Amino acid sequence: MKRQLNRRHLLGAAAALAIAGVSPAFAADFVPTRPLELVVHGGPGSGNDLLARAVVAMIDQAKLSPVRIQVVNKPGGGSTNASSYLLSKKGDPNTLGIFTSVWIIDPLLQEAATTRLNDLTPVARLIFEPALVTVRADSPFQSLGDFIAAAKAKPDQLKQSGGNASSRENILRQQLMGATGTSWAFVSFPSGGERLSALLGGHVDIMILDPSEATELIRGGKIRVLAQIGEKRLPAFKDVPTLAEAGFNVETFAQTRGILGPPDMAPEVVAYYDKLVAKLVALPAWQKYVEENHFISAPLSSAETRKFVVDYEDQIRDLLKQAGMKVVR
Amino acid sequence: MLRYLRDPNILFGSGLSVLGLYIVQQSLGWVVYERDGPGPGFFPLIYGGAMLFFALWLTLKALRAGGVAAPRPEDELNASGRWEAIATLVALAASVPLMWAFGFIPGFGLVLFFIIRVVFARPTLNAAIVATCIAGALYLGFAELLQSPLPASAIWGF
Amino acid sequence: MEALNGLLHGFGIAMLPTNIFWCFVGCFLGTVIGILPGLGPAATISLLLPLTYTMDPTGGIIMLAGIYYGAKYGGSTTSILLNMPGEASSVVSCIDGYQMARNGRAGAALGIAAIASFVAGTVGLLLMTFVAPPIANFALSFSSPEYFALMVMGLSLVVLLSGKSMIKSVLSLVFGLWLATIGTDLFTAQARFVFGHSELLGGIEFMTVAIGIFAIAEILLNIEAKEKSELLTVPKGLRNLLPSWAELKACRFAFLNGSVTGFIIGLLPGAGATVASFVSYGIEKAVSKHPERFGQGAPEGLAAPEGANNADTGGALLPLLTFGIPSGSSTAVLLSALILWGVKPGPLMMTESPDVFWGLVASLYIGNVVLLVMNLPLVGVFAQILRVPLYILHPAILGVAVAGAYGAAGNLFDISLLLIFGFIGFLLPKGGFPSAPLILGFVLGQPMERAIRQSLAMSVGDPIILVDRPISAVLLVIALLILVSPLWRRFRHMRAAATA
Repeated sequence: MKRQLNRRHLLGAAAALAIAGVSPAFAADFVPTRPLELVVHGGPGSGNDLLARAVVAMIDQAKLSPVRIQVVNKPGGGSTNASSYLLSKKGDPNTLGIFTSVWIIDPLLQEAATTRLNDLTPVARLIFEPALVTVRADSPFQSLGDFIAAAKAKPDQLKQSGGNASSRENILRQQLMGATGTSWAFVSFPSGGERLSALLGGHVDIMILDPSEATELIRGGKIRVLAQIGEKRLPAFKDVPTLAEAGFNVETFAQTRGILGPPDMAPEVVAYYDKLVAKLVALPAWQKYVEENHFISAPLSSAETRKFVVDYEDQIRDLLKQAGMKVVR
Repeated sequence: MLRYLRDPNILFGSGLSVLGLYIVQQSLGWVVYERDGPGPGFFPLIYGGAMLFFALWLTLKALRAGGVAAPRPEDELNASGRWEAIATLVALAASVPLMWAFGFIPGFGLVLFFIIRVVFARPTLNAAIVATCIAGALYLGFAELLQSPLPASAIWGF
Repeated sequence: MEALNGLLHGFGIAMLPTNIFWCFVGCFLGTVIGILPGLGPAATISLLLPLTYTMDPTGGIIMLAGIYYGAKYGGSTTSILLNMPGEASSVVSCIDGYQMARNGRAGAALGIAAIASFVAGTVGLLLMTFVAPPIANFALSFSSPEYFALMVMGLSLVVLLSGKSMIKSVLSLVFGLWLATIGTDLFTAQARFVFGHSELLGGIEFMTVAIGIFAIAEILLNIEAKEKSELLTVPKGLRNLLPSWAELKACRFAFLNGSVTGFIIGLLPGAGATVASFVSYGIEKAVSKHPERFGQGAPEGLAAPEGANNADTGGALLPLLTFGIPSGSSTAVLLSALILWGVKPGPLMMTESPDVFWGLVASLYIGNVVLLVMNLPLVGVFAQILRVPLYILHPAILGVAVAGAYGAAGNLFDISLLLIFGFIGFLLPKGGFPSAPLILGFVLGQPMERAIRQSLAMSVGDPIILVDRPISAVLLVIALLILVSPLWRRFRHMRAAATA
C-alpha cells in the first residue's frame, strides 16, 4: 500500500514536473494560425511597400512563419490611415505593420493625427536608412549648390517631389530652406512610383529618396545623385559628397524603419515576433538585402524599440522647432 | 402638401440639398488653402457647392411645376412587390448580427431560408434545402478553396 | 528590328512546354478569380508567390502575369450575366453587357467580350513591343496637371451616361465624388465624413459600392417587379449563342478604340484600367451614329470597355519593366516577385535579363490566345447559368456579394455598407437618377482631388498650370467637345429636320 502510494506520488510529481517544464514552451506560447497582415502606409512601390514585400519574401523563403503573410497597403494621411487601422485591431495577434519616422513625426505636426507610435505596440526596429538628393540625368544642376543658387534666383519656381508634409524629405527641405533663406515648392505624392515619374518626366526638379527606391534608375543613367544625407559617404556612392561636405550644415536625422503591432498585444505574442525578427535579421538573405539597398541594419527588441522611440521623438521635435515648423505635441 | 411629398424630384432634391449644405459646412471647417497648396477642405467645397446648387435647382423646378397631383398608377401595381423587396433588404440587414453571433453558414443560411420561403414563396422543405446548399457551397468556395475569410461566430468562433 | 529579334527570342523561351503550362495555369486561375468578386488578382498573386520561389523566374513570372491579365478577362462574365462586376475594371461592362443578356443575347455578349479582350489585348501588346521606347517617355510627360485634365475629361463623360435629365446625372456624379472623399485625407491626417466610424477611415472599397449599386439593387428591383419566373431567355443551339456577323461588324471601331485608349491610359501609373474602360465607353458613344442604343444593349458599348480593360495590361507593364514603376497593387506584387528572383526591372532589364523580359512579353501573346481558346467554348456553359431558377439564382448572387464584400474588407461593417449601397441603387431609378455617373464619380474622385491639389502645389497656387501645358490643354479641349456633343447632335437634328 505504501509502495503504491509512493509510486502514485512519484507519478504525480513526474507529471507535475512535466507540466511545469513544458508549459512555458507550449501552453503559453503563441503561434499564429491565421494569415498575417502586414500593414504599410505607402502605396505600391513606395519604400515601405518594397521593404514589407522583401521581408515577407525572406520569411517565406526561409520558412520562418507557419502562416502566409500578406502586405496590405493603407495609404492616406501620411501614416494616419495605417495607424488608425492598427488601432482598430486592438489586441489582434495577426496584424503587424511597418513603421517609419513618419509614424513618429505625423502626430508631432498634425493635430488630427492622434495615434503616437508608443500607443501601438513597437515590435522591432529594423534599419536606419540614408537618403540621396537626386535630379534627372539631363538636369542643369550639377551640385546641390547649383540648385540652391537657382532657388535663390527664382523663389518658389523650383519643385521637389516627395511623400507627405511629415516625411523626411519635407523636413530636410524646410531645414535647407531655413538655412539658406530660399524657398521652393513641395509636391506630395502618396505612392513612390508617382514621385519618381514626376522626377523622370521633368515635372519636378529635385527629389530626396531612399537609395532602395532608385538603384536601378541610377545605374541605368536616368537620374543623378547630387548629395547624400548621412554622417559619412556610403560605399556605393564614394564620389558623392554628404550634405556637410557640400557646404550645408544642417543637422539631419536618420530615417528608421521597423515593425509594430496593434495596441495591447499580449506579451507572448510580442515574444513570438521578437523571435521571428531575430531569426529574420540573422539570415544571409537579410545581410545581402541590407547591403544591396544601402541600409544600415539596426535591429532592436520590442522593449528597446519603445525606449528608442521616446528618444527619437525628442530629437526630431527639437529639429522641427529649429526648422521653424509648428509642433503640436 | 401631399402633392409635393409624392414628387420624387422634390424628395431627392431637398435631401441632396441638405447633404450639399452639410458638405460645404464641414469642408469650411477644414483647411481649404494654405501655403503649400490646397488642403482637405478644397475639393469637397467645390463639389459640395455644385451639389447644393444643382439639388436646389431640381427642387425649385419641381416646386414650380406644382408637384404630382395623383399617385401614378404603376406605383399602385408595384405595392406588394415593393414590400417584398424591402423585406429582402431587411432580412439581409438582419444577417449582419446573425452572422456575428452564429457565423456564416447558420447566420446567412437562415436569412436565405427566409428570402426563399417568404419572398420567392417556395415550399418550406425546398427553401431549407436550397438555403443550406447555397450557404454551404459559398463556405466551401470562399473559405476553403480560396482562403478568403468569411464571418465567424462570436459565440463558438467559426 | 531589335524588338522583333527580341520577341522571336522570347517566343523561343515562352514556347517551351513547361512555360506554356505555367501560362495556362496562370490564365486559368486568373479567369476563376476574375469571375468571383471580392478576391482580386493582387491578393491571389501574393498568395501564390511563395509557390514560385523554387520555380525558374521566367516560368514564375509568366504564371503570375497570367493571373493578372486572366482576371481582367474573367471579370466581365458576371457583369454580363448577373450585373455583378467580378473585377473593378469590369464595372463598365455591366452597362451594355447586362442589357444584351436581358435582350436574350447573353451568349453573344460573352463572345464579344472574349473577342474584344483578345483583339485589344493583342494590339496593346504589339504597341508595347514595337513602340515601347518613345511611348514610355510619353507616359512620363504626364504629371498632375495632365492627370487633372484627364479626370475632367472623364467627368465630362457624364453627359453621355445621362438618362433623360442632365441635372440628375450631374447630381448622381457629385454624390459619387462625395463617396470617394469619405475617409482619411490622402495628404493630411484629416478624417472626412466618417461619422465616428473607424472602419470608414480607410475609405470605402470600390467593389462594395459597385456590387451594391449594380448587383444588389438589380435583384431588389427584380423582386419588386415580380419577375420571379424567368428573367432572361437563353436561345438554344450554339449558333445562336455566338455573336452574329452584324453585331461583330458594329464593334469594328470599338475594337480599335478599346485597344488604343486602353493602352495609352494603361501607360499612366495614376489612372488604371477602370478609368480606361470608362473613357473608351465615352469615346465610343460620342462618335456613334446611334448613341441612343447605348445602355440598351449595344454590342459596341460592351466591346469598347472590355477591350480597353485588356489593352491596359500592355500599357501598365511598360512602366513596370522599363522604369520599375508599378501602377497598382497587382503590378506592385509582380515587381516584388521580380526583385526577389534577382531580376531588376528598370532601364537595364532588357539588356541584363533578356530571357525574362522577352520571355514574359512573348508569353503575354500566348496567354491571350490561351484565354480566347479557353473562354469561347465556355460561353455556352456560362450562358446556362441563366437557366437556373430565380429562387436559387438570386439568393446565390446575394450570397456571393456578401461573401465577396466580407472577403475584400474582412469585417461585417462592409456588409452593412454593401446593403446601404444596394438600397441607394434601388432608390435611384425611383427618382429617375442614372447609377453609372455615381460609379464614374467614385472612380474619378480620388485621382482628381489628388491631381488638382498637386497641380496647385506645383504652381504655388497659380491655376494657369491646369491649362497652359500642351497635353492638359488638348485633354481639356476634348472634355469641352464631349460636353457640347449633345448640343451639337441636337443642332444637327434640327438642321436635318429643316432640310427634309
